[in-house]
Amino acid sequence: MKLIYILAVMALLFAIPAVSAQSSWYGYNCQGYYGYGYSCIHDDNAEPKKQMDVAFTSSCDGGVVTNVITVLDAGDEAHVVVKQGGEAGDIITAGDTENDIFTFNGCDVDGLYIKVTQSGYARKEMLGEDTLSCSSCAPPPECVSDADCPSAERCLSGECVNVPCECGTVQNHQCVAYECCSDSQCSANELCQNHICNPKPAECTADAQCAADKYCNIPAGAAGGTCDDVTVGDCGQVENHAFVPYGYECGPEAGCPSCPQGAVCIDHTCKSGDVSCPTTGIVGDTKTCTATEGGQACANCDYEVTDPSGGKSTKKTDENGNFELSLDMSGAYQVTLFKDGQALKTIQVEAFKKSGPSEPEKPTAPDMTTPLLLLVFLLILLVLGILYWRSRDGKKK
Amino acid sequence: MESNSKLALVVYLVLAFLIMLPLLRPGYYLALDMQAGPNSYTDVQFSDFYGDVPSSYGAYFPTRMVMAAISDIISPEATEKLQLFIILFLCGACAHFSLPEEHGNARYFAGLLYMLNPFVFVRFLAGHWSLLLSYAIWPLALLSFSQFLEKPGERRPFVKSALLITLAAVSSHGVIILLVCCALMLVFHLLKNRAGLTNLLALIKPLALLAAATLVLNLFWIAPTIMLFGSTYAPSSPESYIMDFKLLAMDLPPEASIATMHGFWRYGFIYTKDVFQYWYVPFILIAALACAGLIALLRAKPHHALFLFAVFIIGFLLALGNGGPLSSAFTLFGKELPIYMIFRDSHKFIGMICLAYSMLGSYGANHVLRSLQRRKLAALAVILLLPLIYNFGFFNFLGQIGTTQYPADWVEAGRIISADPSETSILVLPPYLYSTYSWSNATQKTLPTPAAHFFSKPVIISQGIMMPHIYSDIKDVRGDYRAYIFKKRQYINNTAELLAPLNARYIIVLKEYEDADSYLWLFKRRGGVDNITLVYEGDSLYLFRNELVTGPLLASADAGEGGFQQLANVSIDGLSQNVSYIHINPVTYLITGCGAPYLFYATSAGPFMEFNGNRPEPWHAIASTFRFSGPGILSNGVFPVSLALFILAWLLTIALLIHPQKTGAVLLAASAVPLYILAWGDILGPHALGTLLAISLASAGIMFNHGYPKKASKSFLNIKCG
Repeated sequence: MKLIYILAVMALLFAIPAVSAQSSWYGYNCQGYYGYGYSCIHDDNAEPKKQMDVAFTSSCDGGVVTNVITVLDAGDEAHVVVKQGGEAGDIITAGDTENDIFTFNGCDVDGLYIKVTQSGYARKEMLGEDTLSCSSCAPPPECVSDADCPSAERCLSGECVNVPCECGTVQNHQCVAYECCSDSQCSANELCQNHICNPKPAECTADAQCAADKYCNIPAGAAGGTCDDVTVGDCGQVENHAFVPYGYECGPEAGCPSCPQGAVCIDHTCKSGDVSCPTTGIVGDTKTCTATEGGQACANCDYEVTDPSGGKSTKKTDENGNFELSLDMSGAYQVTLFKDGQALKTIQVEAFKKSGPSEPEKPTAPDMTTPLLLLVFLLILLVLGILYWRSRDGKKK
Repeated sequence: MESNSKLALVVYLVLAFLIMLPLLRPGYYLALDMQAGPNSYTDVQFSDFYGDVPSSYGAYFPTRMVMAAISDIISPEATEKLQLFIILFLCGACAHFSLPEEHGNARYFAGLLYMLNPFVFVRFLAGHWSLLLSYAIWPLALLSFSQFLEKPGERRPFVKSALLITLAAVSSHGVIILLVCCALMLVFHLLKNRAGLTNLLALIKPLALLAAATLVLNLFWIAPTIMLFGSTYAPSSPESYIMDFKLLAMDLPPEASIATMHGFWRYGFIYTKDVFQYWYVPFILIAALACAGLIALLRAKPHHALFLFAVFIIGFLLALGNGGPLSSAFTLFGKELPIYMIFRDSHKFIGMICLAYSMLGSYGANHVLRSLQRRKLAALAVILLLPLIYNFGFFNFLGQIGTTQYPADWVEAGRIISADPSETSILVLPPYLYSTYSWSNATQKTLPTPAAHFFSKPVIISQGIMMPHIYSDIKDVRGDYRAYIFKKRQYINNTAELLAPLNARYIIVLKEYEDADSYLWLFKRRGGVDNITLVYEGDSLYLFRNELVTGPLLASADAGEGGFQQLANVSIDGLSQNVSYIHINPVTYLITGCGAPYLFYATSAGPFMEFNGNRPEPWHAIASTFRFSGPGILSNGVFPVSLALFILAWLLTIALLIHPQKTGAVLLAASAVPLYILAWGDILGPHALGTLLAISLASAGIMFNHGYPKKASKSFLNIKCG
């Protein structure tokens, strides 16, 4: 009895503070401190984020457009981001405020998106602000008319610029043209000398008097002519004052035909190559591919694999022209077949993940409390049962 | 093992399993102070072992080495869950088996309450696994210490006390609380009889030996911590800590909150009491049982009763911190002994209250059950239900937590980074130590830089806790440099160059933060940024690569005098990767050539880095630089100390357990040399060391448990017992 009495007294002693404290049970006071962005469930008394005032001005200062973002009531070093083209647009500049302002230069930028963030404050966004136009902030013009410029220059859009005069002389802000500045501006039988076209002297009477790549062009009825370039045709060379074709099927030489699609030119002959691979695969697969050249297996041919991250590796095919392609990552693999250092064929193999990227699970845990508690109670019952069974056994003994 | 003991083990195993059920789904358990990911146990996570950072939170790298070894077998994800499961199990089992067998089934009350209480609940939600592991060890450690005090000359209590206190040092907070309890136990042991002074004199030698052995066992983390303390820790004022970590006036007054085992410095967690209107009913009955236990124990073992009562009172006063009668002492300690501020969160002392309730409650339950003539089983059922009802929130944690799978774009970014073999780092922006991650599958989404455990390369972590009154209490010149770059970002056009001294090859900008754009400007702007490539863009992140950075060692044309302010928008012409070296271990390199007069180590700015015995000069106050005069060894001077003391503690533990004869002792001592060489040479990395540690300690523990060697049990310290 004494023990029960003491127990009761102690229980009361503990009950008083516990029960008296119940009045303020709910209502968490969650802080919203930066970096500790608590997300309380019972967030009834959470401090609201503070507001800040943001203003934008664009002004002209000495011919330079200066844009100022003023952030008031937010302390120092608020983060400012300026973009063009909305929130997803290009960042034009970014930085922190100093003495409540953030400054940047630039003109003719319309539709600015300005975002200001600061620890403990609700972020502030502004959309549609424009900077001043560059023209509205232009310095006074250098000139109004040609007379304001030196005689060799003229006035263009308020600036003195050189008078364009490639073949002539500038006099009084204007270009006076010469008769000629090069032979091409004279007739075929004339040369340009001191900006005047004069008759050309006879240069040759036979091809032998000309260089190997020229021939003697004698006009009809004339005794002599000029050494002119031999007319060059396709895929050949000039030899002994005449054009001689090579007779190649293909080649890199000027004018030589190129091979049809799917073939490359090797030793002036068109050769075709091919790579046979599955076009798709699953990450982790190893695909067997076959390389051919002119319909035959391309044995010991070089091939290059470019993986989706841009990594390249070069290997050789086996004697049957086969090789294996390991798909280690998702994305497009490029396989290029080479012969004598030249790319014969490039194909693409797409590697997919086994399953598409799944959305991260929603942050809600399933309510397993009830089944778990049931299991716990079953456990207790089991333990008690075992203890009871043992105590009975003990009594029997 | 007796069948009763087996049943108890099964009960706590099943309970721990049931509690862990919501976390058994695929994914990691991420919490306020708990990171986990596929790279949780890679070598880069052992910077405390390698002497890069102090082990100020305790001796947990050996535990993590063992976990690393386990992760090689069962995956990091399963290892994390196994770790939490074991901690929960140990809480119950250690409390249960720390009580005398005569208590019978009343011991279940202690085990259940010690395992299921608001303190464990909130620390589990916060991810304080090392504190909980230490807390789980306390009852057995105190039992061993009491046996040691009773029989100071015997070997087994001595060994068990030293090793269990060392195990509890997995949390520096936990071991200090345990030592407070041990001190209280010693005081009441001395007061037990009138011959207290004589008793004290007899105890001085064994106590000194125990203290010495425990200190030697713990030097491997204490010594590096002391060495690095001055260069890494910049304590704020006690007032700042008090303001930021003060007792919160939630729904209960602080005193009632602590007395009911509730309390945390942070808002937002939901306890069982918040959803159970009559929570105080089971609590009152638990408290009543504890009171009954106290009264019963006062008659039987008064000094023991007073000890447990003192644990409650001292725990209560210390937990009140600045809010209680010891507030002036709290502030004074903070000013005179800055390290005391590791207890800025004074609620950790609530663990002492849980200990007192569990032990006293078990005595009370035993007393009540013995006094009943019939319906004992029904009474036992009611008693055992009390902790379960008081804390039923443990089962599913009131929907507050779940497992989290990292987003698909994190996985893709991780794949790209891990394909890069360079020994470089990742800079994650915005650079907050704690941030909210919307994809975290928990109601509290604030996490401590999960990228550090997800990605395969070291993540440059911000050290700022960003509390209202304490931005950071860590000295972090590299963090200051990073902050400088971001502060001046509007005018910076050489981002890639500026990040070279941080060895930052990869930069991740997390999109979900509203100020992410502000950082993005440094890497992505119209016209591009020189040497910065956007490698990948996902739904939640950008991944950039700094093409200038390819490794941690750089050659510098100048000594880098002056502050880092000189570097903005100045081409660092004299900086190149023209250094040839051989990697020996993560903090030691054999430098064979350097293309400039100065060698620059971009990974650590620690004062104990040395090159051929020369200490570093600060390169523009950012990193370590050395004049290069020829090939030599670049190393961290803390690692050899930390490694030697770790091996010493390891071998001493084995020696204490198996008590070898002369030949065995010589062999044991001799094994230190190859162990040291192999670990220094990185042939034995943390995983291999963890495997060896687990096997060797398990073998020695089994031998110890089987009473080996028989002869060593008596006259261990040549002290007469009693």
